[in-house]
Amino acid sequence: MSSATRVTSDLDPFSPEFRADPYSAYEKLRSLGPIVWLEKYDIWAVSHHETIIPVLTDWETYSNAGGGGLANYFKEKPWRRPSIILEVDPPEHPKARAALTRTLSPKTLRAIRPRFEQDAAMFVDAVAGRGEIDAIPELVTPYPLKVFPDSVGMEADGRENLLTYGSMVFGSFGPVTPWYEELMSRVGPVQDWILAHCKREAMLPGGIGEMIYDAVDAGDLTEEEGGLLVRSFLSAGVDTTIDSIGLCLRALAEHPDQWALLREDPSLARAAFEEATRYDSSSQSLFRTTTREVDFAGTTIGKHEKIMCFLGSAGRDPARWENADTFDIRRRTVGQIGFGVGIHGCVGQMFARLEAEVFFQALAARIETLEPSGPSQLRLNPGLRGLSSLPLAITPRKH
Amino acid sequence: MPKVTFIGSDDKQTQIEVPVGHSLMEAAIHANINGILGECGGSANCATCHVYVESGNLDALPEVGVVEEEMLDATSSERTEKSRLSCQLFMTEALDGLVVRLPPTQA
Ligand code: HEM
Ligand code: FES
Repeated sequence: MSSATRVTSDLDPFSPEFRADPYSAYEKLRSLGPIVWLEKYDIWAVSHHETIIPVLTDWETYSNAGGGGLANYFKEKPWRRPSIILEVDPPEHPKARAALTRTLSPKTLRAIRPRFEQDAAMFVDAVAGRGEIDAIPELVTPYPLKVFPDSVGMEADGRENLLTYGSMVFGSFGPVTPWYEELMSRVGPVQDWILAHCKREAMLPGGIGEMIYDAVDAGDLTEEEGGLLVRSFLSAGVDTTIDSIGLCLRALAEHPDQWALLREDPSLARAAFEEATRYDSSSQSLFRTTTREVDFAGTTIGKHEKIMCFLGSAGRDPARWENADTFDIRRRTVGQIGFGVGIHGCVGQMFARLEAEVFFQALAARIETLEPSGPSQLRLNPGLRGLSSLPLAITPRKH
Repeated sequence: MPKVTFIGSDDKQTQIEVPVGHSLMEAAIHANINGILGECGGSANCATCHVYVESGNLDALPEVGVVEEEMLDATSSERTEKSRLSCQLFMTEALDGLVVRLPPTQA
């Protein structure tokens, strides 16, 4: 077979219809074959657990230097200086990766856990007696928006810039649309604020930001690289966790039997979040760009072509998961790839797991009933899946 | 297929066949060996796949990478000169007969 006989689809993964119900679109994509040409954007799509893994682990063939989103840096100019961790390959990649790995090590996480616990308890207590809430703005968003910048060591003012910047970063993963152009018309002041807050002088003592600059002082990174890694943190660490925690909360509210299990045994919190990361999570897709012509399951892929890898589809692939569409917090989830896999697999995943585990433990310890009280709403961002609204009826736990 | 022996912290030995190119972590999870968690799926990010390499063709082991080095500094059980992350050990024919010991704790 050659590319002349490639399987083609007119599916648009950035359309409102696709985003409203990606899972039935994935089913269709998976049925078309191991690799499908999406003619709307001239990119390839892979959507099976077993075919995504080899793409993500063969970094010599499937490069990150072509850019984290739809834009092809081998062919067009990026909107910002590319990330020095996400958008580079070895031999550059391990240097930045090692520095971030150190700052996010289990040692750091053990030290910040008590602070997460305090904050999670505070945010849940604040809504526990309210009856009806919109859980996204009132419960889910405030928590990462506090604990994340606290961990980095950022001042309290202006943190809402993190949300706007995150929207821009993940918005840039998709096509240029009127929505995106409107968003980017505000990029100047937000980008200035972010860059100012990536500088050494902006880091409060004892935070992860300061640890990154310790790596600069140790000679592992240049001053500029230190700033860019703090930027990577601020780009990747807030929206992702807000969206994933929000979707996990919705899954629990929509599955009363699963919520009952968690409420009875809050130690299931980490497992519940892991299952949600397979079932319905923020990072639905990511991109690689070929460095050479390559044969992929009988189809020829040209050099410098983009491949969209649907992690969200891998999580629902019936060839890998029994009852793939069932949300089951006691499932053996080991091997799920919602955080990616290989050398670029999320460097903040243990941070994200801790944040979510502590949140759902606090919730299970304080909330008795948790039910949807109206339709939830998806937020509009092509790079991440998440909710803008999740109306819930809740009652506090009687002790 | 090359074989690897895992010795549990209770001294129980399990020998398994590991396909060339697969990591020891993946193989252990697949064989349901207790004592390897592999929470990060092999991205050298969780340090819950820590093993002590006891014996075998040690010259055939890959060098400890810079990222692995950082994680080995953060293992839950004590790090020794035999410590490796099993997700960074990919099977080769030359590694046939490797023996690794599992630490008492992973998290
Ligand atoms: C539930 C929350 C999160 C999800 C679902 C998630 C998902 C992902 C995924 C799928 C990748 C792989 C990208 C690729 O291979 O192209 C990734 C990479 C990355 N993530 Fe996360 N992430 C989350 C939270 C975080 C947090 C909290 C941080 C920071 C503390 C973070 C920092 C990063 C960075 C810096 C990378 C690039 C790593 C590299 O290229 O080596 N992420 N994330
Ligand atoms: S599986 Fe996580 S470090 Fe090896």
